Parts: sequence; C-alpha cells; structure tokens
Amino acid sequence: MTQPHQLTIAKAASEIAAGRLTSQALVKDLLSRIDRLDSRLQSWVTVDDQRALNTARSLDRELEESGPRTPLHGIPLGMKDIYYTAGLKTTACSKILADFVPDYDAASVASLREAGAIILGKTVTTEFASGDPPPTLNPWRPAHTPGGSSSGSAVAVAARMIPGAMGSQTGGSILRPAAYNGIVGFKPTFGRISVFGVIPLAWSLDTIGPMVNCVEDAAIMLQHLAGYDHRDPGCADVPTSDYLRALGLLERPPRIGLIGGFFKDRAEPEVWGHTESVAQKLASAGAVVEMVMPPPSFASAHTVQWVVNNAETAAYHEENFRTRADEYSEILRQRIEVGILTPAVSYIQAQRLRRVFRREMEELARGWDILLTPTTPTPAPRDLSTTGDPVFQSPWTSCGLPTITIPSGISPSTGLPLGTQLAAPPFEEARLLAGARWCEDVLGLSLFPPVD
Amino acid sequence: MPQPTPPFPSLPTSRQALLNQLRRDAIALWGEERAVAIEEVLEEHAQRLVDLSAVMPPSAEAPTMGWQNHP
Repeated sequence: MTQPHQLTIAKAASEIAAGRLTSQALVKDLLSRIDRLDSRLQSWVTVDDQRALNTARSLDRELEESGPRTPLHGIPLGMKDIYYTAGLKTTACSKILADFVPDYDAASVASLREAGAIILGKTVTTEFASGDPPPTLNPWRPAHTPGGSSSGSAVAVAARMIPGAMGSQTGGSILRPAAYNGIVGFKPTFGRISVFGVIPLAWSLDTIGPMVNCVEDAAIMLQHLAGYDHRDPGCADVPTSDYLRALGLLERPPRIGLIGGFFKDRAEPEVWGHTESVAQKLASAGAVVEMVMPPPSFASAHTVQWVVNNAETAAYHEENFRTRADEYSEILRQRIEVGILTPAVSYIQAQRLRRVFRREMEELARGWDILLTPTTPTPAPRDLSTTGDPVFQSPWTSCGLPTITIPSGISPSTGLPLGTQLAAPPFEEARLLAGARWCEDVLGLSLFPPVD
Repeated sequence: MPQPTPPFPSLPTSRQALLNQLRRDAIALWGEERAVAIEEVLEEHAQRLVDLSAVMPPSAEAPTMGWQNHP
C-alpha cells in the first residue's frame, strides 16, 4: 500500500480532494519520516511541526466546507533557508544571520500559502547559497556530495521527506543537486517568479524554482509562483500560461536540439554516452533529434558568470564583510574578496557580453522545441569538500533561459543518478514543461534512494 | 592598518600584471597573510579578467541588470 510520503504532489492532491487522505495525516507521515531519516541526512534546518499541524487541521476543515483552493491545498512544502518566512528563522545557514526571524513572507512563500500549501520548514542551504559544502548527505551514497546550494531541498525531496521544496539558482544550484539526487529541478526564466524576500546571492542571476519528483508537480507549483511583482526589480511583466493544462497539449513529439561541442567535450564519456542513449530513446519514440553547436558567445559564458556573480555577491555582503569577515566560511569569503577586487569596467563589460550571449542562446533555442544536454558532466563526485561543478548549468542561469532536469538513469560505474537537462526560449515554460513531460513519459523513470 | 591603494587608472592587460595588481590590492585591504591564503583564487580571477578583456562587446551593446523589457 502506498504511504502518504510516497505520493507526488499531484497524487496527494487528488487523494486529498477525494477525501481519501487528510492534510493532517500527510503532515504527520512526513514528520515521522523526517524524524527517522534526518538526523543522518541533515536536510532540514528548522521543522515547523506545530504550526504545520495546526495549518493542516484548519485546511482540512476548509476542504470539508468549501473544497480545495488549488491542487496545492493541504500539501506540505519545504523552503530553502534563504526564503523569508514570517515568524520562522531564516538563517541562510550562516553565522551572520543565525538569529534572524523575518516579519514577512517572501512573495513566493506568500503565494504558496495562499494556494493552500503548508510550509513544513526550512531546508539546508550552503552558506548564503554560495559554494561552501553543507552538512547534508547524499541519500544515494553518503560519501558523495549532495550538490548545492539547494542541498537540503534536493535531499528532502529525494528521500520523500517532503513532496516538493523551493530552491534557488545563481550558478547551478537547483539543477545540479536535483540531478545528483535523482529528482526534477526546474529553473524558470529569469524574472518569471518574484525573488522578493529571498536573500540574494547575485541579483542579476538569482532565479528561484521548485524541486519535485515529477514534471507535473513542477507545473503545479509554477502555476502559483509565476507572475509580475513590482517589489522585485528583475521581475518580468510577461503573461503567464496555464502550465498544468499545457502538459497535455503537445501535438507531436518534440523537435530536440542535442547540444554538442562544450557539453560533449566536458562530460565524462559515461555521461555523454548516457545522454546519447537518452536522445536515441526519445528519437525512437518519435522525437526529431539533431546535434547542434553552442553559439560563439558561449566561449566566454563562464568567465562572464564568474565576474558578475562574484562582484554582485561582494556588493550584497560588503557592509557585513567590513566588520565580520571572519564569520564567513572560506569559499564564500574568497568569492566576496575577488568580487571586491573586480574592476567596475570588467563587471560592466561582462553584463554587456551577457546580453549578446542571451540573444544568441535565444536564437538557438527558437530553432527547436527544446534543447537537451547532460545536466552535469559527472554523477555526484565522491568529494565532500565541494558541491560539484556547475559548468553545465551556469550558462543557462547567465542567459536566463528556462531549464529543467529530469532523472534519466543510473550511472553503472557509481550507482548514482544521472539527469538530463532541457531548455527552451525565454518565458516558454509551458513549452519546456510539456516537452519535459513527454521525455519523462518516454524514459519512464522514477528514482528512490536506498534510505529505507 | 594597511591602506587601500588608489584605483588603477587603466586595467593591466597581461595576466601577470593583473595578478600583481590583485595581490597588491589584497595586501592593502586584508594584509599579507590573507593575500597569500587566497593566492589560488587571485590567480583564477586574474585569468578570468584577462579572458574577459580579450572579448569586447559590440559598441552598441548597453549593459543591463535584467532584460525582460528589452529582449
């Protein structure tokens, strides 16, 4: 018999709406799973158990009286510990904000609550969503990194301690940990979801998105997250779609551009071989798959990302850094230091080059329904001093195009999950999700780490 | 207390010159011990800055923090 914690958001929503499952029972089952697994996996910073149970009780009553608000009615979610949550500690897993309790919710937290979701707690982030490794363990192989910076969200979702959680990506912080842990990670277009109330790492790169166990769940969450918010200066005033409905509207198998060049050269042979076999399966199911090359501006994409990311990180932290530099962990501290040492001219040139890159990547994406690459060059490395290499995810964050990773296999050499990254033109999330759902159906894979 | 050096009038264009400049600034800001501790990341940063200076954006290209209104 399926236990509540094993359900995806979509399945739990349908059980709740049909009266076969209460939100209280779901919360209790997840709390008991957290109790059992998290002293080892360390994916949660704060579990707000009492408030979650009270909210579940009240949402169950509301359901009886007036039906579900949305498919998120009564669904518990985790928030990376950089999202402001009113009355609940938001530490960014740092010494600097160790005791910080916001008095308002991030825009995304408020939207999810309004849709009927329950915030079960805060998940571990690397310090300020940067690169210092977290205490969180990879549930597949504890000697391998879980990835970062959204480490806790990825692990909590993979180990079924929560059906969905929010992450953030400035380099590769949603898709990389999602791929390392065998789940779906979705980074929408820059500006699609308000980042108001999310502690920044680099304003012009920061993008937030859901981490879940299937593409449908990503669509359900995006439905309640997408939209313009004047409080976020990077937020886009671009119409949203019915993302859930769009999943079923694909008229034919997608035309897929498999990006070679850099991605082929930098992937381990096993990973590239896996990506080619994924492309072959998709082609056998009717997709048109052709190899394409990254545009010329791709050559400087990582350098541009480095300069912009570090300079903006330094700007955000400058005030605290003047007096509290010793309280920062080493990797973040070094990023702030090189950010401070970045000439203004270099930062501005990098931002100008980013615009060229974005145009060329959009042009590439517009030639296909979706683009496809491996999500990471290797499976999760056996190295707990790193969160892995963002080299395959960060160009997409820099150009702002939406991307999603879906689990696509297990590495024969390591027994760890492998992911496939898909991308689409800006603000074409509906197209991306529909394409990803089609690929997910063809691959027919749902991964469970050996934690039970 | 070490004093920051004044901003350089133009960017050095060789990796070595840039690295020397970064080292001097790091020493001035955080002291010699810290500058030595971060030597590896200074070297990477110098290389990145040199790589960046080798690619000039088109002259008409303006910078922006976001782009959603100017696709």
